[in-house]
Amino acid sequence: MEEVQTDPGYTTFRDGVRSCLPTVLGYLGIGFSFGIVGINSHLNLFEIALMSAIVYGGSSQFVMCGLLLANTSITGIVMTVFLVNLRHLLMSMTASPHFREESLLKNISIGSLLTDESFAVFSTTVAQEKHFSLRWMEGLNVTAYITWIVATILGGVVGNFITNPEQFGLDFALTAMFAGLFITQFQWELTKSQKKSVSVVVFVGVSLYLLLFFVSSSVAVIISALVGCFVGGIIHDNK
Amino acid sequence: MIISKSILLILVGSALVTWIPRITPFILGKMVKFPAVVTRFLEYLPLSILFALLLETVFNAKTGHLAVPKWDIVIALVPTVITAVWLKDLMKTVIVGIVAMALVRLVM
Repeated sequence: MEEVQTDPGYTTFRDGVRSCLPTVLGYLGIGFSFGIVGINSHLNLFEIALMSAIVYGGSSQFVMCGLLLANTSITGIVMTVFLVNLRHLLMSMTASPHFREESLLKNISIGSLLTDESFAVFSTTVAQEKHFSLRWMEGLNVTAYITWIVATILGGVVGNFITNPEQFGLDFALTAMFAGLFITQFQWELTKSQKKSVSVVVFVGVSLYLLLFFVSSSVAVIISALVGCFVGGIIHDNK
Repeated sequence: MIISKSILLILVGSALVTWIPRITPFILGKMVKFPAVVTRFLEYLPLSILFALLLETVFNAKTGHLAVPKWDIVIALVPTVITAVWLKDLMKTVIVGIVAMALVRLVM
């Protein structure tokens, strides 16, 4: 292959599976709670599995359950899901240049399975300046995808007996995973430029808090992330 | 097992509006090269979006009201963050987080 030299550990499909493992527990926790919430929102197992397979987005799936219970209209639900998942556009824009040389079909398949978590693992790999292969990315994505579907089905199966997953702290898997992924990324950015990474984080935090007053939280996430990109880009300029 | 027609419509519609933003940049990226400015600014997206997503889960937000921290999450985050910084192990971070949260809910 004419591909750039890839680092051992980031080459094969199996390497991708291994890179995904640290996030698997998070997916299991969140997926399991989603299954429980889904059953308690009057979805059946098939609907839960189908939703996980074709929508494939943790936060949007929880939001959908809430809206279904509230009898929101079909257009209302679809538009909300669009807003909640719009951040994927930014993540795909960031990730896609790394796969330019691959075929269109491979590009589409990677984009289709991109999640917050796989994007985070991918970004940390980029930040560490590791060379990775397409197969590695596929291993990472597919492992996450299968884990998610299986976890939500398992949650759906026990959902008839448990009504409140929160009491077991399972819902916190999402926050804990974001905390872990963020800190990993932050520590890498800190080694590159302390001033830049601290400024980005401060601006994201302040703008998110202020934005939550004016817009829905999914929109606030997108705008504050753009503020962070802007601040990072500007500071970059002055150096 | 059957699926109701309205649920099917919701699922297919939601799948489309999720899928299109996910794949469009990958398709465009094959045809055109993003301007260097865009790429440079997006370099800070991972850090920014992860922090935004983390903070979003911490707040109880309602448009028109100041966001209020969910205190159970704030408390459970303390051991979680300490674990993440010290052990640098995502799996252990998630385990500590879930256990911490279960304990917090037991007490609160």
